[in-house]
Amino acid sequence: MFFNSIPKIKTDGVILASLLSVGACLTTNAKAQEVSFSGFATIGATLIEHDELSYRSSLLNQTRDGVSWRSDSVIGGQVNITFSEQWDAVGQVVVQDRADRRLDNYIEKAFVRYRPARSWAMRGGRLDSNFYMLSDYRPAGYAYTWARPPLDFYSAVAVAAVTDGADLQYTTDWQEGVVKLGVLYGNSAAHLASEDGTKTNFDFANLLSFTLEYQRHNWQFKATSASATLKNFEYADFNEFVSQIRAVPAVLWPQAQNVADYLDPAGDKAEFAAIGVKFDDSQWQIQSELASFKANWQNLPDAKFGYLSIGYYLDDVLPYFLVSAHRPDNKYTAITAPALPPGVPANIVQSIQLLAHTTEDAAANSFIDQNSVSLGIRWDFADAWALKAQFDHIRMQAPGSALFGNNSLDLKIKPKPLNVLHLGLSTVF
Amino acid sequence: MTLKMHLALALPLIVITLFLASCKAMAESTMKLVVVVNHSNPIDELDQKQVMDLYMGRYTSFPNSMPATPIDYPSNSAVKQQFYKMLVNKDEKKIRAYWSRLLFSGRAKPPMEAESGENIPTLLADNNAALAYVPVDQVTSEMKIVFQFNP
Repeated sequence: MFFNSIPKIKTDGVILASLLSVGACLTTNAKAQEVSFSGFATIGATLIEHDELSYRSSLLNQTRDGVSWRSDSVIGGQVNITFSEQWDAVGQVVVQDRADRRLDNYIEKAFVRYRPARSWAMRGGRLDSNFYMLSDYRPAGYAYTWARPPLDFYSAVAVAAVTDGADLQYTTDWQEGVVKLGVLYGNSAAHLASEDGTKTNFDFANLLSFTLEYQRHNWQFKATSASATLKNFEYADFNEFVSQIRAVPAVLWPQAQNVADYLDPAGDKAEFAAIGVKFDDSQWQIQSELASFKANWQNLPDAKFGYLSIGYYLDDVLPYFLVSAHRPDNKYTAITAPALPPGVPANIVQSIQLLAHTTEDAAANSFIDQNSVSLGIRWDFADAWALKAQFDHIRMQAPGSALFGNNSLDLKIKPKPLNVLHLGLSTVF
Repeated sequence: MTLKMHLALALPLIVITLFLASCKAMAESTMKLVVVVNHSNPIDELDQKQVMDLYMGRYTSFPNSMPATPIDYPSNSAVKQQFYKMLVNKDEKKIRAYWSRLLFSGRAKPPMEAESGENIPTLLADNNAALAYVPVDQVTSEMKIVFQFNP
């Protein structure tokens, strides 16, 4: 996410195949019983107050300053096609403020589903990864309380929000409630871009997740465990850069191999785990999630993140209070250039120092350490319309501002808190 | 016309309006709703959880695995408001937010919305998989009651 070079565009064959299969079903299945269209939209003004940081509502999105109509505005369209009692398909495209504007970054869903029996459902194609409580409807602002899904939790996990693959779900009754068990396998491709347009691509390959959900009366629980292998990391001249570090003899830079391993995600195993709970009795609305991510990779440091939201209904008005945090598992460790023995040629010294300095910048630029306090209000003023206002006060450590644009900031200096004000209108149609 | 005269004219109108509104509210609050299926549907009885499962999208078929097509009264109708209040204690706006979560997660589609209450007997008669709620005094010989709320 930090090197400067020519971006590489990758054609995603899997999603194209998914789309084509849905399209083929559409055009060849003359017995399609029903086709329905629906959509959602949020139009919001976001005021960002900071001299050095620029704001984005997701790691996948463009960074913005001042007053932005793009940061939190979204429009999505969905098509549901029912072929028979057992077969149906869903496609969903969401236009949002993506930094990398390839088509792939706007397709949220494109799957075919088969329900062989009451309790069983299988899907294939592009699916929501379904790791977290809002995983499968994050873009639909009308569907949740806040201006946007809590940033400390959902900004980073957006990189693995959709999966090209297949899943199996089993639903059964238990203790006056309903239990859903799910297993998913596939590949999740992340496409990011930095402020200068430089693109980053990588895959969560062989992604395998297990999900347990339970819903009873006013309660909802969810737990997920997932793992994947990091592959296909592309950042232009990244491979050459890592090769240069690996080429440094251990006698000159003993940590060089460890530094290169931490930079290079190839083959590293990423692990997610999350639990969530929601209570809503039409008086109180309380929701919380906690999650852990481990990959031993510099670009997405190991971390724990979570949030707690408490709201109280006053008829059609829901004021709420939200606290959240994204904390790294390990303290930031500076990468310093080795003290080289006398007699090493000056050009070698400069090269090693440059490698260490660039790596240090990269590590600081990817480090996330922040917490937030938010106050907001949602007003369902008309059928299918909600007006939302939210104020966020986000405090970051130094370094630790990687969820936002921070190129102009001296990362060793703790930034002043970031205040974000949102006023938006959400609807479904 | 003086302000007093305006008030003298307006006051009876306000009182009558409030009276009619309260009568309507009382009538609505005492409306007895039942859940019905097509007469030829083999299902004879559902409990409240099973009705909830179908109307809240947790299952898309009856307990005997036969596909189900739940039907809703039109938006903002008194019957629909009362049904969801009795079923899950939520008003229509919260139900719409709930369904937007399910719909846009791709998990399920909301119940079919009838154009009017009068249209529901026809929808039920035309579809063996249909399931609807109606005031008990509107149950016809084409319908079979499978659930009624406790008084």
